[in-house]
Amino acid sequence: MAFTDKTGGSGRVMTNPTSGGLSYDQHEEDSKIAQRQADKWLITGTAFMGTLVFGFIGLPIFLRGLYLQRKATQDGMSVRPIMVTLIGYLVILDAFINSIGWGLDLMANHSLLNRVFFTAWGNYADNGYFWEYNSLFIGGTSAPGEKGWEIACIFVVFPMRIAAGIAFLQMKRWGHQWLIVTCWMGVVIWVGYVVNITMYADIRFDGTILPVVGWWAFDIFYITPFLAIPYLHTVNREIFAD
Amino acid sequence: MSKNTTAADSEVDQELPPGTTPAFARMHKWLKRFIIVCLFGLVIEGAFTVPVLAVWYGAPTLSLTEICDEFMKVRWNDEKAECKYPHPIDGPPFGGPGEGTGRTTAKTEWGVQPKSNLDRIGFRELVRNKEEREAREKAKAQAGAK
Amino acid sequence: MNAPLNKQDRDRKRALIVLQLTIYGFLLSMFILQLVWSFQRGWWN
Repeated sequence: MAFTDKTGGSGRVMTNPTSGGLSYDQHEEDSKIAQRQADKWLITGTAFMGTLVFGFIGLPIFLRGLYLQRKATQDGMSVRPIMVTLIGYLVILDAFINSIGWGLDLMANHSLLNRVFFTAWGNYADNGYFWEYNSLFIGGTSAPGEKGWEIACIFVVFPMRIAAGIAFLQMKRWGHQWLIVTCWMGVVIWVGYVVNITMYADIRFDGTILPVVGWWAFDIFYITPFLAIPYLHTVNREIFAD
Repeated sequence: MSKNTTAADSEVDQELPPGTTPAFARMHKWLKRFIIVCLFGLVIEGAFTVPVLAVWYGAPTLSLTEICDEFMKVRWNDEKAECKYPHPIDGPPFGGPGEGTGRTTAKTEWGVQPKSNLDRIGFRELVRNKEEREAREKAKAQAGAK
Repeated sequence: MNAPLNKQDRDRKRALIVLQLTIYGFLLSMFILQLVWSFQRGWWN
């Protein structure tokens, strides 16, 4: 990991000029251990949150990982910046939840759980998932245009985003670059998807418990790419190694 | 973008995380806050969705299969529509006709922009639907038996 | 925050703010449009 050396920082990193090399290696070693420890909690937390239903277990675990990350930073360790951690994991989480959700609609639409909970959600917020469910030859939602977005996202954008997110968390230059690319893809997705549901608004919102409001209240939290883009464009690129 | 820091700036820089230059420090601070809000929002709504939906649509009074069944009756506007469990192997997505094939009871107005004409399902309305239907069928059966 | 912004940083910041305003403006307008329709077309009934 190539970091701009934090001289001063919190002033707690001891570097004896005469034995500078040894202290530096030790510092690197300690930093790696601290980072790995934080990542264990972060990954576990994200994995639970990715299942959606076990989110309540995942969040405290993730927050502990974040706390460890912050503590390592304050102790003067050369660890990943908090923002990189947050954005990296959240983008991966976002892509994961969507992939699982739409993956189920694509491939598990004949299951009882799908036929109950997807259509239940459909009746609450998005009638496109209730009306004519499983009427297509591949099943799942019959909402016009929906399958196109599902395939493009699950098989192109989200895998790319997850790969870029992981490399970003590893402080790789290509991770940073490709996360920019895939977050901009997110802009395209949001625009296209929202216009599509507006075109077919009757079929998407009529017959729902909370028309319009239900969908937006649920989906607004998936704007993570929009929040990542400004950071990705203004972060000092040199903290990312080739 | 390399940082050109003066002695005065290095005081402020010490508090800045790596990668964040003073020019964008405030932007990054607010982005971090919004991202954390999104994280909490995602997790909380995700965790609540399944239980709330389950209770709204009749669980645990109705089993999952019964809920699925009631959904079918509402969706196709047909009291005889059933939720086959387990799902037949010759139905979508494994091939075979879609769920709507041969059904003429739905209230959909077809056109370039279809209208479903479905009514929203109220709180535990599926339970009431089932009970009313069973009461009706029992009454009919008794009347028929006489 | 305290350091003077060079031109590139200033332009970058402005462009990013424009992006945020545009994208959230778009989302908001779609939301308002759908909300208006919801009342006009009777989805709440």
